[in-house]
Amino acid sequence: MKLISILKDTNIVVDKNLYTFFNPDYIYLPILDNALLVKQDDLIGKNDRIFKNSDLVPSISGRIMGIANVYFEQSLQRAVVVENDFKEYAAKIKRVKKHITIEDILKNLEKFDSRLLDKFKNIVSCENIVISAVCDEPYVFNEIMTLKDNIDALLEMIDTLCTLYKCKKASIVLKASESDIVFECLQKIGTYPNVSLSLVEDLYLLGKKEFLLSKIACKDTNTLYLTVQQLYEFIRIVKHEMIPSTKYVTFSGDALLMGKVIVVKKFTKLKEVMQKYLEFNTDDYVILINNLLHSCVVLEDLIITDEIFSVHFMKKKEFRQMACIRCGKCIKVCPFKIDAYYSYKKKIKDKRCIDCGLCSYVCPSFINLGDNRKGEEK
Amino acid sequence: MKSSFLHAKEDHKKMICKTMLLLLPLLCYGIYKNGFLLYQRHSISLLEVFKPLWLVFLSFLINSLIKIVFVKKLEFDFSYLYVFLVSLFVMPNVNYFVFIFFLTAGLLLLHFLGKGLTINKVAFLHLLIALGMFLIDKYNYANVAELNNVYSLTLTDILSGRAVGGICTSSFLLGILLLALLSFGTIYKTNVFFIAYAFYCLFNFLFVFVFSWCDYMMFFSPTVVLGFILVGTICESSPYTFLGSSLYASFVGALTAILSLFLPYDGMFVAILLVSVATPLFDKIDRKKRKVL
Repeated sequence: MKLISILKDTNIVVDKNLYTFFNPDYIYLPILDNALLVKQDDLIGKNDRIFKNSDLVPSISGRIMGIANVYFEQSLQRAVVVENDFKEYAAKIKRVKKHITIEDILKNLEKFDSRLLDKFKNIVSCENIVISAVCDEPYVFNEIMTLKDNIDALLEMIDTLCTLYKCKKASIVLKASESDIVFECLQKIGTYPNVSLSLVEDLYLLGKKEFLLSKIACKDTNTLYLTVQQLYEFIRIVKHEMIPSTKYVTFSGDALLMGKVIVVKKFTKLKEVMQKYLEFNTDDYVILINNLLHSCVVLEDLIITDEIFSVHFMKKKEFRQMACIRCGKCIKVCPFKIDAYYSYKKKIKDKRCIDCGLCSYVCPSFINLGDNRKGEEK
Repeated sequence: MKSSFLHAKEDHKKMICKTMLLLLPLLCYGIYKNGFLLYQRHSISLLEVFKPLWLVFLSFLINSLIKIVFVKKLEFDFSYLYVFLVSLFVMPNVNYFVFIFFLTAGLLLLHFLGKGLTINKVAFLHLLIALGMFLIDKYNYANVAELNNVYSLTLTDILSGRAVGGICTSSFLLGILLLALLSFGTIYKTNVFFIAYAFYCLFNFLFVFVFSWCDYMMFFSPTVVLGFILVGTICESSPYTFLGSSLYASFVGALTAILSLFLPYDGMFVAILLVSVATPLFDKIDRKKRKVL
């Protein structure tokens, strides 16, 4: 499959410095079931369990204010509101583990993160470790900033994993266009002889590890693949034995004077971050989350959850949808050669579709080919 | 509802403008061959030198008027590209009134009856104009000098553009150059040309060397080649799947070779018009082959 590169708007600039927002006034934890372990006015610490059947934990310490209907992604949901006492009190303060074993890894991942556990549970040894610092989605820079901010810890952990899993070779993959971070990595990487730097072209890899591995001539079998963000979370879980309470979020867009990557507390309201850090060059904008190629409009009352990795503030643009001209670009660009226009007309989603958004991106008639809702009238 | 908020820069207007710019050399060559050269021999007046240009202006004007009156909206869309192509392919001695009348009639027919159909609009309009010229007994693709048999054509003549053909479509080499330039554009069905031309040559091989029904010059007919390059590959009336477009092209090539025995210059248009009616069927065959939805 021929990969394409997404045309970047040079007006969208993101600050190279990292910012932090660790003191929201409130956080909002979504209630997934009704089994609450706390009640109103209870005092809780960071990472205390407040749900019986859910792993969601507060990222701050404070007081339970009550329950409210709050805006998550595209719908209102009931959420527990926690008022910040700004003390960052945590009931159990653990020492950072210096030496870790495979048993420690599996035990902590099982306790805190089942998605990461799937990557490690069947591995005894591996030939390669590939850490991806490729920021695939347009105008998103989380991976690079995480790498820049934590390069020493990440390199040390890669080295540890190489020893534990008897790995011959480990590589950090970056886009060749990211010259600043490439230079910084090269300066530090020399200390670790088994860790190398691999560069890839500035192509849209669809967030798929298969495409990235093919670009660095690495086989998928017997390769441990992690993104920098996943490795960072892995370090927090395995070494600190706690769920990370913060996440890296990119705030960018042509409606901003300068985009920023900000480390925020999970479950913070977007509005609080906007008021503190973001400056706009227009009032006429829309707010979009995650991949701009397959995104939805949200409100500024949105709560930043684990699933949100970027928020884009884009000037309102009119793309007038026209009739299909049968150019076939949607099929050519699709990684699975799906007939996107036929699926769109019949309102049926192909099972192989991964919602990469490339078909809509390349369509010269501006047809939203990703709209496969069944029975919906146009 | 999730959608893409980023779009590639290619849109309809850019596609149309790019294609029209690439067609300008053909227009210039038409003005040179069927205008300037004939003016030098005192066969036509100075005004007639720019006939290809007047035809293009007339076609744009007629199209615009129809849009204003019937669509109530003047929009720069693919219809302008289609009428531009029609103006390039008409016979050199086309009568202005026939051109205006049949182009208007054709555009009106397409506006009222052609919605939802995938017929090739350029082929349809061209054939209507050719029919008009046939009705007034002036159906001939030779220009004034060629009618008087001033040129005796060799293969070199045909390749370099001195062949008999449409008013701007008599240069084989210009056509190949155009093909190369269009292929580097992002939206062009290159496989349609190569498969159509391959089938055309295959059938012509049989006709020329096995049955001796026609001349080897048919392999290099510039009108046919330019027709495959510009008319057969029109996105809206050709399949968008690879197997579909390959099947379409093979039928176009084969039918063109057969019909060209009877209609050397318009056989290609008839073939494209007939095969384009079945365009959705070709895509359906591709879907069934791949066992998709």
